[in-house]
Amino acid sequence: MSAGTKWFIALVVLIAAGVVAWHTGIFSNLFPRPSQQTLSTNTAPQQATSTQPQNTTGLPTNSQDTSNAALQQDTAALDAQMQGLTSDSASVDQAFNDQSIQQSY
Amino acid sequence: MKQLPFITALLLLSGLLPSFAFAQTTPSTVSTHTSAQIARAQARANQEITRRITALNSLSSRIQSMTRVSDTLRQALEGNVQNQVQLLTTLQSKIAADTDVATLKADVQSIVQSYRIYMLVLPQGRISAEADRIATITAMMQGIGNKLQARLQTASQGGADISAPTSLLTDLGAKIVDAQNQAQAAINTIAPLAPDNGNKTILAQNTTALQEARADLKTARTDLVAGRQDIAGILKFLASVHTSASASSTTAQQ
Repeated sequence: MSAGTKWFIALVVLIAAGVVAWHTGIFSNLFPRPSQQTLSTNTAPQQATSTQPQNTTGLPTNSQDTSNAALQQDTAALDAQMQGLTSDSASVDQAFNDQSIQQSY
Repeated sequence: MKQLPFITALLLLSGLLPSFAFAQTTPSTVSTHTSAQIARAQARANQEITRRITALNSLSSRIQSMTRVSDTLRQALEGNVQNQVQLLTTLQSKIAADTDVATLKADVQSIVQSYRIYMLVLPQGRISAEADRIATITAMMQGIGNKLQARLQTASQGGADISAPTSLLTDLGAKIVDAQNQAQAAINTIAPLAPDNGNKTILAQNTTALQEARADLKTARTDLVAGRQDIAGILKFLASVHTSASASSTTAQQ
């Protein structure tokens, strides 16, 4: 076996060992896998959502904020929607009472 | 109300009849008179169509701002509205270009026929918008109710008697649930409705369904008004607890 062949075999063995080591996670601390980065990117918005649960209720303040000031803001927002409801209700009534313009001469 | 479109058509067309009666005796006078009649009919038809397009565009804006109904329903409503606007716009242009009585008569009848679709699309969309608003309000009341519950627990731990506000909180929960159910029932009732296309049975069914949905929404509104009063009552209690706690604290310091 020539010296060149020996070097070639040694190189192939080293590369194979490196690939195996990569997949077993030996280098994970030095070179995080792309999938891990993607995972952390994906979890960030979920964490942000969980810290802002007021979006699900539509209230302007955080759901954990039970202070008088927060309740005052919440009830003000609620009253604005209640006024909107009155307007919506009037629109429904108007739709039922809608009549054609009398087209006489 | 159902007879109004036909009455409207009769009134409009009856205005054209005298021109035919005079046509054989004084042609030039009647020709001028008929042109004036056509112009007036066109103006009134334009007024009628414009009013409907304005109402439909307003409804379209409201539909786009809906957040709680399904995308499917919102898109279906928006599609119906846009179809009506397109139909009426086309008809408006055609009537404006009409130069003879027979064509104008047919086009005016088209307005009357489209009125029945309009009278389904408009209340259907507005009922959906109100149901969407009710869903928004119930979600907000739910959130406020949770906060009030936490405050009442704190007040109870401080020695306050919370039996009365707890009763209000229980009532608030019941009102929220009923309002949600009523709004959902209204949506379920009107969502599958389709134009009657001249079928009187379907017309009657649509009318009944729309009125039922309207009644459901009225009940939901009553629930929400009562719920808002419950919230006000609980807040008043919490304010009194806070005031008495402050007074006690001040007395203790003295």
